[in-house]
Amino acid sequence: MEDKNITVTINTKRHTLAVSPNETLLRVIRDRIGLTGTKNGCGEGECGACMVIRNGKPVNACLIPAMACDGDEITTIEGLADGPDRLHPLQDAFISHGAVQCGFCTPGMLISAKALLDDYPNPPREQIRKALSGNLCRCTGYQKIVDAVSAAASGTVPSEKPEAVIGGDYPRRDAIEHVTGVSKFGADITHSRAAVGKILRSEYAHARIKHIDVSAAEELDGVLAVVTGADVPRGYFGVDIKDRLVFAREKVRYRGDEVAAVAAETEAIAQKALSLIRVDYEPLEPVFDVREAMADDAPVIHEQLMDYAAGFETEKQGNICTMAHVRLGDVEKGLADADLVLESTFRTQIQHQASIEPHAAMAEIDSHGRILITTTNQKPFAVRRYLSHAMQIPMINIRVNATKIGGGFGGKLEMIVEPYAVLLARKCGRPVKIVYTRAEEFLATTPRHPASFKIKSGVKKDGTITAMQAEFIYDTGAYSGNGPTTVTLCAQVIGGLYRIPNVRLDGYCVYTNKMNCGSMRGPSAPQTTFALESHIDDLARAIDMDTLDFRLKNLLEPGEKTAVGQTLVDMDFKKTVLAVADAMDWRAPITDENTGKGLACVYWLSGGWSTSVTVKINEDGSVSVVTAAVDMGTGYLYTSVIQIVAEALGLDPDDVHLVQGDTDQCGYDHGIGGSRGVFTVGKCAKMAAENALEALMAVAARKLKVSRERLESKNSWISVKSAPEKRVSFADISVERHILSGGPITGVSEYLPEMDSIEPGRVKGLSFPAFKGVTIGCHGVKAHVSSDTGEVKILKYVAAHDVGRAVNPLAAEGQIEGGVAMGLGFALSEELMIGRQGEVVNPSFRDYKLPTAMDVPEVESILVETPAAYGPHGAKGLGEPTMAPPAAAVGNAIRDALKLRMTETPMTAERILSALEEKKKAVPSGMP
Amino acid sequence: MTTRFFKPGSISDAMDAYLKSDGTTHYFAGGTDLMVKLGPPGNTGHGFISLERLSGLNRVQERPEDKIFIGAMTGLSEVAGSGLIAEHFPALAAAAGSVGSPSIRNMGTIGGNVCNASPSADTAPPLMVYGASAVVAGRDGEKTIPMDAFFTGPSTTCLKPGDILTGFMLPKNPAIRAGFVKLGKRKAMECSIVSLGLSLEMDGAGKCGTVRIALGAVAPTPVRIVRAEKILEGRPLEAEFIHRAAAAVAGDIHPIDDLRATAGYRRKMAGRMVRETLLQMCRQDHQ
Repeated sequence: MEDKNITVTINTKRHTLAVSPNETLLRVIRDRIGLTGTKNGCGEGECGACMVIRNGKPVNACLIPAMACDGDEITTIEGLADGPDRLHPLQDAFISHGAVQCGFCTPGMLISAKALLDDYPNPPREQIRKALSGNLCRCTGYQKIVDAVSAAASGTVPSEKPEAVIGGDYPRRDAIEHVTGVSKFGADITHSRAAVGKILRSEYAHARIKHIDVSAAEELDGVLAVVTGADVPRGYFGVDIKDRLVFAREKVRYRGDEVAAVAAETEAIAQKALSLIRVDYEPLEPVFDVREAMADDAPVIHEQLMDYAAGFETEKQGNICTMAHVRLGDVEKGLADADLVLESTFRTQIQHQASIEPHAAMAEIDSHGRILITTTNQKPFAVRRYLSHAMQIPMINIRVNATKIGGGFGGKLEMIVEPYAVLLARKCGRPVKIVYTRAEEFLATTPRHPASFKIKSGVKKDGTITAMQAEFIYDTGAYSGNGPTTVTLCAQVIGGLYRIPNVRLDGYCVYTNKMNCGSMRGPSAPQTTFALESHIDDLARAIDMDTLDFRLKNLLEPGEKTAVGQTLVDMDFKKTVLAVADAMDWRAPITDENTGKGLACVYWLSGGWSTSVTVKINEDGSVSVVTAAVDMGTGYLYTSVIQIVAEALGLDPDDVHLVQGDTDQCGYDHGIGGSRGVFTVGKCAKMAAENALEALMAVAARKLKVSRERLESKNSWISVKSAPEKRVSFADISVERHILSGGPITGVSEYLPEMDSIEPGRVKGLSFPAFKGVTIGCHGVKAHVSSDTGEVKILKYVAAHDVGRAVNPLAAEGQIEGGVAMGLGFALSEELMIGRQGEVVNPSFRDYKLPTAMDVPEVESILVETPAAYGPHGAKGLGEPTMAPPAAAVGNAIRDALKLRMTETPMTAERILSALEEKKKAVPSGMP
Repeated sequence: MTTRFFKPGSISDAMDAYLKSDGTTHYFAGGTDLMVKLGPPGNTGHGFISLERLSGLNRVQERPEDKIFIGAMTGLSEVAGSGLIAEHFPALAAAAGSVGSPSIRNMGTIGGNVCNASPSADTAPPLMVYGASAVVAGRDGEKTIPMDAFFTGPSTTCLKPGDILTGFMLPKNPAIRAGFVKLGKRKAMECSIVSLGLSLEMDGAGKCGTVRIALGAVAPTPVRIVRAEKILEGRPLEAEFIHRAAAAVAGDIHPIDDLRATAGYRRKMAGRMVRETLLQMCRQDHQ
């Protein structure tokens, strides 16, 4: 192809380089110049991660042919600061306002914001939102970003450090890396010899593979390796049920199933090679609907289901891979005792994590044949274990190192891209990097399970709930993935809010020929909360009781038991709900037309599972925290965990450094998810830091010749309480220890939060009991609904969460604002649609509708603090429960505004209008 | 085989290059649609002829006989922000300002938005209701084509191979009131479910004179809703006629079911958007 010389000035530096026609400006910036601060989130101009300023205006670098840029002046994120010590005011503001969570959208956001302030020095918030409306953010809900831009514009960026360590609004420690564009995410990892890996996926939703011929692909110039199932031992892997192989072998089970993979010199060659692989399929009848899949005569998706190894006991049958049951009391009697029985059905959609950062991994093989896989993954030790199982490689020969994660939300919790990079690298003898396209993200990763619910409850006129019976079916797609756990959680969540003496729950996890659904932020929480809290609202209305009063009457109190028999402690539903009611002025009647208010509560569990942390005292007295736990983007490690360690040792959080995510260097961690960051890793870090402090104290006591009890630690010094001038520094102790006896002083801790006691007689088929750290919240919405178009306009949004203790209130608010935005996406606009042949109809950011900065309302966050005995400083998990209530709260506001109950998410304008018209047709025959 | 990316300096060079190419070469304006559809040159064997250097195509200008010329390469941001356009064609400014996102509007051009010929092209309905004509440079010289006749189907126009849309000629008419409304699932980055351009000129006697109603995303091309226009023309702008006009919209459109909306929803919304826009104008009259 005819290359052409262009000269471009990037961040004031002139570059003359030969570019080929198929290079974009984005590729030139990232791959040729090596400035990886400009990100690639979609390649279609829909996400804004690649925003740069070109000749004075922000543009999407992915949409510009490099050849068009001759003579242009480009500013990237790396050109925003006036040098390392002189950040742009916007960069300072983003750091101090908590505008950075995962950091992946941050460079593009900053570029758009800079362009705005260059033209309009003091824009109002609405204008800021509009200027940022082409930059998708999945973490923050945009609010803190708008705050930051406002503050930078008005010159009100705070610079003082918080007074208290615990409870202080410390910005993310690594925020400076994100705002300057130097942080390395999955796709930013480079290697001069790296080949490009690509995956061939099934064209059928369900088919037998008769034959795969890779010879033509192997012969193509520039192809380095082709691998298929024949190159891998038959090692099954899976979270709860081992039902998956690295490549589909005899059968493909969804359109997207991995069939082969290619490594080549360039992406174009790899793509071409995929088209040369011939796969002979024998199509089988697919099944996409869970009810059809549960029928006796349904096509069977996993013939070997009964033979698969599983980590828990459950009934299986046909396409049903898990049956979970909860039994309490006598439901028939309870329903008979009721004054009124109400039955409702609900359905929820496939929601995608849609992290702006796609999955990416680089595999390298060292001279001993050891595998190093560098990957954007939430669970490095699990990847090592799965790789070892799936490929039957000894664990010692695998090293997994996690990069920064540009948004996880559970989508990077499983082994997805890693084995293909490893297989290809082993076969071709070169490092292989695979980066998913946006379409692949939507086709072949692990989104939220769609679910359907049938709930029937009895209620007395005084508001007493007498019984509840519920059936819920989770569509797990082609593989079980996290489905059994999701169904288990659903059983716990649905019985976790209200006092109900008689309960019967039946949950099913069912295979269909769709992508494997997995763990998305609060797996089961938004689905269950939408169904339960809509149903509860209707129960209250059916007996003419205010929905707030009904909740206050029936919500569980500390000391009471959930349906599975877990005793609730350390939480205060009433306080949390009343905080929302107060902020909403709940008792004030709404007189505006088509306007209503709604509440929804959430019960969730802060995740357990084991972890370990090592705290090392370095020679200068600074501290390294070594943990295999990663930060999926929430910032908990870089804020709360650092603060917890600093507080425990008595030093400045700035002196705490993190070593993380490396299976070679770090102790075990189960994987980051389940709202376990602060609750579990934070707790373990606190214990490790306390152990390190005791080791320091022992030396100090000897040196200062006093007993341990008389010493205290502050600002990296240990001094005698009664005579502060008698003191010794961490550095002195540490240097001596390093040189004289071999350092460092370390504090090590392992931690497994206890499972909570449940009543085994009540449950059957659940994959685990219940975690201790119950975390709750309540959201309130006031909304207007257009009876003309069905459009919902959020007028007010209040979200209260009982966080136990906000170790970092700024970060906690960020979780709430981001969770609400994601929850509103689930409620109103997001849906991954599956076509008749099992194809994804909308695999792009154009048609998968993430809320933009103009779609998300301002959220009023309320932090309720009922300390949890088990959490560090009383803290509970918060990441997941924040996104559970929005759909139900909005649904309840719609019910209030239009007397219309929406039973399906997303509640798009079209669905609302159509339901409204159905209802008008059905009236007047005695509707409630 | 011509070069894969060519930036000619004149219209005739551009045309020559196009006509000499093997039919896989495309004129390239802002690239925001082409780069998504085809990717950069080379991947699928196509080439681009950039129109960026052609002089005179990137400006908004007063012309004789009370006309305004908007060059085809004028960026959507410029159209949205132009004082001249805001003064004379505010509905067009609103439409241009509603396309995609700020960065997409910085790259995308009004000519590209029209030539991409999406049924949902946001600038098309206002251009149609302002009585705009497309100015086209062809092999045989310049021609003007009324916007109503410009589109021939989804992604197709009446342009002949090699033709270059150089801009739009719009007649100023201070008596006209016009509106633009866009319905989508999001407030930004949104492909319209239905878009509406509507212009109205009252005659001296308190009755509707010329009425133009154009809708996007409800037919294979942006369409004029002549039946509804005729109901209003010669009649006072009153609720009765407004409701009748809105009810007539369904007769002139042919929406489809797609992933964004069903045909039924589009049909309903099209009528209601026309009704609400007219009612709003009616209310303004009575204030």
